Amino acid sequence: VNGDEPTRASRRRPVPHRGEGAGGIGLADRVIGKQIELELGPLRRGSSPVVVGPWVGGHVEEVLYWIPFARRQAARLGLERSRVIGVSHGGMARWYDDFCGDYADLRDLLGTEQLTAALSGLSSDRERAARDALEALGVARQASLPPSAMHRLFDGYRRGRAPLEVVLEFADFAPRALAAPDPGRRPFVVVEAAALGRSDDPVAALVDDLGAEGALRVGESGAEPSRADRWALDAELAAEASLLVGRADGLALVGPLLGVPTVAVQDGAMPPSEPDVDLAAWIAQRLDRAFSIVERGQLELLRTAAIGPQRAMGASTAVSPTRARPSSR
Amino acid sequence: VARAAIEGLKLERVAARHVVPRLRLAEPSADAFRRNEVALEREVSRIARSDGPVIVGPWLSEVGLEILYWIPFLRRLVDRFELDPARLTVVSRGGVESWYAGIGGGYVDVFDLVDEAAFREGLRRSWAEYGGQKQIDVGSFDREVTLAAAERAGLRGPHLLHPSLMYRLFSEYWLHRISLPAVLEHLEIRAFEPPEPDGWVAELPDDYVVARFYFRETFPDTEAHRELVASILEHLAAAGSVVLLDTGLELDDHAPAPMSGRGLLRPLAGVAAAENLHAQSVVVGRARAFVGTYGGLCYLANAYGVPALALLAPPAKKLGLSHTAVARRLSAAGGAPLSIVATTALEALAGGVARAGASREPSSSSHRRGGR
Repeated sequence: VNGDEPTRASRRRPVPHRGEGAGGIGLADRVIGKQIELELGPLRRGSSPVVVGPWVGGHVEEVLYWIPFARRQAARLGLERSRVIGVSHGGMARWYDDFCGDYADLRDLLGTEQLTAALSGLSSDRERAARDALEALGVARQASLPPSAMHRLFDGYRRGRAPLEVVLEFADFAPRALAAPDPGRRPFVVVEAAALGRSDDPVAALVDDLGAEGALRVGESGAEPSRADRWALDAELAAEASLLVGRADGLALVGPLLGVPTVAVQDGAMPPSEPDVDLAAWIAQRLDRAFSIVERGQLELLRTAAIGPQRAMGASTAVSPTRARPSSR
Repeated sequence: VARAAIEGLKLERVAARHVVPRLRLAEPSADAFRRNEVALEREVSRIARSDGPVIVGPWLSEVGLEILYWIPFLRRLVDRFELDPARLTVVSRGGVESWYAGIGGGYVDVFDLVDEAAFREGLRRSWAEYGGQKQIDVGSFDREVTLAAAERAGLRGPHLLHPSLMYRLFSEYWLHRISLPAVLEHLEIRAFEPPEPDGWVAELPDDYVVARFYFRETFPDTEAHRELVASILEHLAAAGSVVLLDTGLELDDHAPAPMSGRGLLRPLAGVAAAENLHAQSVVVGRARAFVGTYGGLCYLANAYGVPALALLAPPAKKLGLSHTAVARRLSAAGGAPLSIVATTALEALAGGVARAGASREPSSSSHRRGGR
C-alpha cells in the first residue's frame, strides 16, 4: 500500500508464519458445517412445512450455489418432499421440484412492488421481504432453511479464500430436466443478448451466420420486459437448444445444469467471477456436459475454425421468451 | 467467526474431539500443504546457505506443467532465497534454455545425454516408479540424468533442486483442496521473452496461425475428431497461412493427429530432439494465433503473448480445472487470451450454419416463411 518493496529478508520469513493463507478445507469449514447441521436439526422432527428460502437474490447464484446446498441439506435431514416448500421469485418452481413438493413465488406473497424493491434494494430490504414472506406463509423462521446458512459456508469460496472442495462437500448438483422428455437436440442456438456487443461484435457475426432459423436471442429488453419469469423461461428455452452462447457471468453459467453444450463468452483473460466459472466448469465435467470458455476477441477465430472464412448472410431473430419456440417443436 | 475463533484460540484438537468427532480430521489438506511448505523452506534454505553448484531439475514431465508451475515456481524461489543464478544449472529437454532466462546460469539438455529411445525407456521406467507421470520422487532415471548432467557441466557434488518439491507442494491444490491464492504465493508468473531469431525464422511466413493437434485423454483418437481436425485446418488454410508444429518425433504418450491438406506448412519436420521445443517456441512465438489440442503448447503460446484456441472433447474428465485457473494468470501476464473450446461447440456452430445456409436457398425460404 505504501509502495515500499518488501525486503528480501521479509520475503524469507518462515512459511508457517507467512499469511496463514493455505485456505484448504479443514476444521473451520467443517465446524461451520456442523453448526449448521445442529441449527437445522430440529427441522427433522414433526410433519409441519419446511421452507427452503426465501431466496431474494440473483438466479445464477441461486442455481449454482443455493439450490444445490438446499438439496444436500434436505437430503441430509431426511425431509420428505411433501413437507418442503421452495420459496423464490421469477417462476423458478421447476428448479426446486426434485426436493420441494410445493413452490411459492415471492411476487404472489409480497406483491410486485415490494419484491422489486427488495431485489434492487439494501440487504435490510431483502431481510424484511424474507420475513414478510414467511409470515405470509404462516411459517416460523425456525421452520426454514435460510440462505444465510449457505452464505456462511460458501462465501469463502466465492471470495477466492477457500477451495472448490468446500462447495463440493456441502452441495448436491443435479441436472435439471427442463427440456421436454427426450426432445432430441433442436437445431437452433440460443444466444443471450447480454453476450452481444456492437453490431461488428464477433458474437453478432455468429448470430448472423446462424440466421433467423438457427439463432434465437433471449434476455432482450424488447419483448415483454416486465415479465418476472423471463430468466426462468429463457433457461427453459436454452435447455432445448443445440448450443447456448451466453455471458460468462450470465445464463452460460447454468448451461451445464441444463444439459446444453455451452459457450461462455468473457472479455479479457479473466472471467467476471472466476469462482462461478470454475464451478460451472466443474459441474460440466461431473455431469458430462460440454462447457467452453471463449474470450470475445477469439470468437472470430472460433468462427473461422468452425465454418471457414465465409462472409455471413442473413439476420437473427429476437425472440420473446413466451413465444420463443422453434417451428419444429 | 467460527474459523477465526477456532484458529485463533488453537482449539482445533478440542473441536476435533468434541464437535466433529465423526469426521476424519487427522490430516486436513491445509495442514498437509503447510507441512510441504515447511519441507520446501527447509530444503531450499539449506541450499541457499551452502556454496556449490545446484542442479535444477531434471524436468522430465509435460510441457504444460513446466510452463505453468515449474518455471514460475523456480523464479519465485530464486528471488525469495536470493539464489545466485550462476550456481544453478537447469536440466530439461528439447532445447528450452530460453524458457529459464534469469533462473539458471547453465543449461544441460537431456537429449545431449541420452538418445530418444533411451529417453522413452527412461520415462516408462520413471512412470512405473512414480505411479504416474508426475515427478513426485527422484526416480532412477532422474538420478541417471542428474549424474550425467553434472558430469557434462563439470559440476562436483551438486545440490539438487528437484521437481518433486513442487509436485508435493501443489498436489493438494490439484485436488481442489487448497485455494488458489495459497499456490500463487509460490509462483511468479511472467510472460516469456521470445527466443532469439535463428534459422527457423527463415522458414516462416510473415503472418500465420500455428496449429498442433494430437490425441490424448481429453481429445481421444476417434474418426469424428480426425474429421474435425481436417475440417478446422481446411478452414484456417482458406483464411491464411497455417504452420504446423509437426516434428515427426514421438517423445511422450501423445499420438499426433493426422494433419494433411493444401496450404499447410511443416517447417519443423525432421528437427532434432535436442532442439525440438526450441524450434516450436520460435514458430509459436511469431504466430498470430495458436489453434490445437488443449495442453502445454497453448500455454506456451500464451506465454509468448499469442492468443490460443484450445480444443477438448467433452466430458473431458481429465481437464484440470486447477490448471486453467493458473493458465488464466499466464494468459493475463502475456496479454493474450486463452479460449478452451469443446468440440461440441464447433460441431453445433458448423451444423447450425450449414442448416442456415440451406434454408437461405430460394426454394426453401418460401417454405420456411410458410412454416412459421
